[in-house]
Amino acid sequence: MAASRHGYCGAMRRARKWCARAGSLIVAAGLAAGCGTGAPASTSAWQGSADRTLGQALSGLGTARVALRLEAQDRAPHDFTVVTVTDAIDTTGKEVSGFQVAQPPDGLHRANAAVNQALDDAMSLLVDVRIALASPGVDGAGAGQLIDRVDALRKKLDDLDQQVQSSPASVGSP
Amino acid sequence: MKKVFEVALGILTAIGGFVDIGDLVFNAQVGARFGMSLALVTLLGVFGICVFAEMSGRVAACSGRATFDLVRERLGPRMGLANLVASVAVTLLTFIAEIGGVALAIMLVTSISEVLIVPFVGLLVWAVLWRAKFSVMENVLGLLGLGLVVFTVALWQLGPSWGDFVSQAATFDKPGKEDWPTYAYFAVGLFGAAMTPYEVFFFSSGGVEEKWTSKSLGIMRANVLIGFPLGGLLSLSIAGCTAVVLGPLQVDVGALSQVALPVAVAVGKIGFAFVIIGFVAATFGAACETGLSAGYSIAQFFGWQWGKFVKPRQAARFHLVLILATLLAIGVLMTGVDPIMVTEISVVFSAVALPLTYFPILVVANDRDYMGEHVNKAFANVLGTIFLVLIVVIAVAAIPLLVITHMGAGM
Amino acid sequence: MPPLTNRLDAPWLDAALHLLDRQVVDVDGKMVCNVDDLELIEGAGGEMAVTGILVGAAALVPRFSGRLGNWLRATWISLGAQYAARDVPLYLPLDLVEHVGSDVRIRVPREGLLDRQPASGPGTAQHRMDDFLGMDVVRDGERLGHVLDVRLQPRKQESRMLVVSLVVGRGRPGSLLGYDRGDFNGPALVKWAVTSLHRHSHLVPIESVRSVDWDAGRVEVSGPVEPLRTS
Repeated sequence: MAASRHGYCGAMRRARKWCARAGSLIVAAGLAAGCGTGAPASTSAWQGSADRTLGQALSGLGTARVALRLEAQDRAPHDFTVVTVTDAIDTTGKEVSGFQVAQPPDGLHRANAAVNQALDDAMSLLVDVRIALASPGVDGAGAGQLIDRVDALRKKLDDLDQQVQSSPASVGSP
Repeated sequence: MKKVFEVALGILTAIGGFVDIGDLVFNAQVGARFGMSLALVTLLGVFGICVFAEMSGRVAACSGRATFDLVRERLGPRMGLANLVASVAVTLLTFIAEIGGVALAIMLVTSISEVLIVPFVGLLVWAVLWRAKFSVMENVLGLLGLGLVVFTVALWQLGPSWGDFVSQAATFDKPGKEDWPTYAYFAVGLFGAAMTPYEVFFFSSGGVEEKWTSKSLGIMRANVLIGFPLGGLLSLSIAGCTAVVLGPLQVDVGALSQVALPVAVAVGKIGFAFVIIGFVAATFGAACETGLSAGYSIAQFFGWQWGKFVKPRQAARFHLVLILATLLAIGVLMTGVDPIMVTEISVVFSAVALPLTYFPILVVANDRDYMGEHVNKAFANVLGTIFLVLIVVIAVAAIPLLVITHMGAGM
Repeated sequence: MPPLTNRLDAPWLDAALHLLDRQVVDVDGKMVCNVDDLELIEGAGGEMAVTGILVGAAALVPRFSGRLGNWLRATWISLGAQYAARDVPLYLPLDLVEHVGSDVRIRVPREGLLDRQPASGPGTAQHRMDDFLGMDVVRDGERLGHVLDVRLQPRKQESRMLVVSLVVGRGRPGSLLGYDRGDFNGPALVKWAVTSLHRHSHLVPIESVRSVDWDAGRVEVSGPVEPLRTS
């Protein structure tokens, strides 16, 4: 290494310069994205984050659906299905609360409220599923009812997501 | 039966690379979101790790030098130190995550709190590193880790449309909902996971532990050619299972419990038992692999005695590193950090450390001082060069992709 | 492990390529240390020879050259301010070395082996190989490059290896890989890259070295130099 010490010194200097540049770029990108400020997001950023969060809710409900079927058919230990839905509540909840504390664009307050309402519905349905699973446990009929509710809500979330992507301004208007 | 155990090192190494706690979730996530459209990346990774593990194993067998010896000899102390810092950081992060992963796997079937399980698991891992014979460790964990083959069985039971799988794998395309940078991020993650540097640290040092000589090259190659493809098969099976069961429900896999769902759907409770055994053994095995790898690389860089082939008191500094690593892991996990998050980050960062590890192996495998008559043939050199170029490209792309895709969440 | 070629039986041996950073193994196969640096003794007549292996933080830390190296070194010393000779490395005399190959094998067990580096004898000056490597080489006022490696003549029966020539070239990375010394077989791409980076490397016989300025890090050369053999 020492054999080419001077070459490396140059390389290190360049690397340090590069690091400094990269660092300032990241900081700039962070500021541009509005990290840590209460400023409203741009419409496309809001759409993106609504899409992610609705997707996470769909995912959580999908997981709950599989867990319900397993429990009803007695194909997995009871503790496991409960853990699965608890995990789903956990991950979905994190994403949902992240979305709900962000400031929506000024023109989209109504749309934001509609999305929030849907997300809340998803969360409370997940909690219902977990409570039913954990105790007293579900039988075939009970699981069927819950699965129907899950499917209906998943359909609603899916439609909402598509509307958010195609015409956000119309979301939530009567 | 003895022959079966001779390939345990390869199997355990591959388990740590392909189906450790982060990869279990990562593979499942890939399957649910991308179907089999990234299968070729996994196959490419298997191919790449086979090429370099064979080289590092050959160097270890012919000269008794494990990989981090080569790193310092060929890159010098300064670049060697840079690699040491990067590799040990990645390896320790993974080690921490694996101990958390064992706890997560146990929590799937019990409702004991993580805070109670983690110190217990940490102590158990340390006890294995301290007391257990290397061969016992690799045989038991390698064999139990094979419980994950139940994913292959489950995929068979689920009876997917194999034609669809093949066409998804063979065409270079992504599902419509995803964007290209996210696709690239997952490709880099899969490739980086397949080629994580601690695999060659562990494999080459394990060869020294097993006292390979140039007569053991056949056994070494059997380890490579059985272990890593098996790891790749497990990884593809997991992706396939989630593609069938969770993909249509648009589930984004983020927890270990979701990974186990398809097996329960396909095989029921017996399959589920295998999954849990496989999860625990694979994460425990990966914990041993990464813990030892951290000790191996630090000891080799500084020239200390290392290894489990000598008594702990003869390799005191090496064992001190293992003790400190275990304490660190327990301490970090007690803060309640999510182990899966930790490995997903470390996989991408390990992609950055790859070139500095694989380049010295390629060079030394051509050195007659080390290899005698067993220097690389043209075939190994051509493959090695191609993968090295690929590795450099991936190392450059990894961090920018991590940033612009929000860790794969989408742009 | 059957020993492969022993570099001590070869006509020459390069300090950085074949010796520095290698693992030292004792007579029972136990690991002792790494070759962190080499002791270089300049005799009264100006002849130079490697006489011992330097070991430990005091030898290794200065090799992380540059700002990081200086900081590490100061930190290392301040961590043990009360110790005398904090900067003096541990030492392994060369006559204990039996074999130089992929590792450096010594003929005694490791217990109690390493002691502080002794002071040099009268009329001789003590240096470190790492200080020699990287020096500027000037031939009749024209810069040739840096000392990339130091070629030694191994004599098994003696406790020192005489410096016979210097490998001099542009200060570029890759000289540690050995491709410029021509005893490698591939891979073609790496070989091509390294040899083309080092196409201006020379071998300077020690007889052509006029003076070595250790403080300024400068080697004055006059007389003939030969191009480095690359096969």
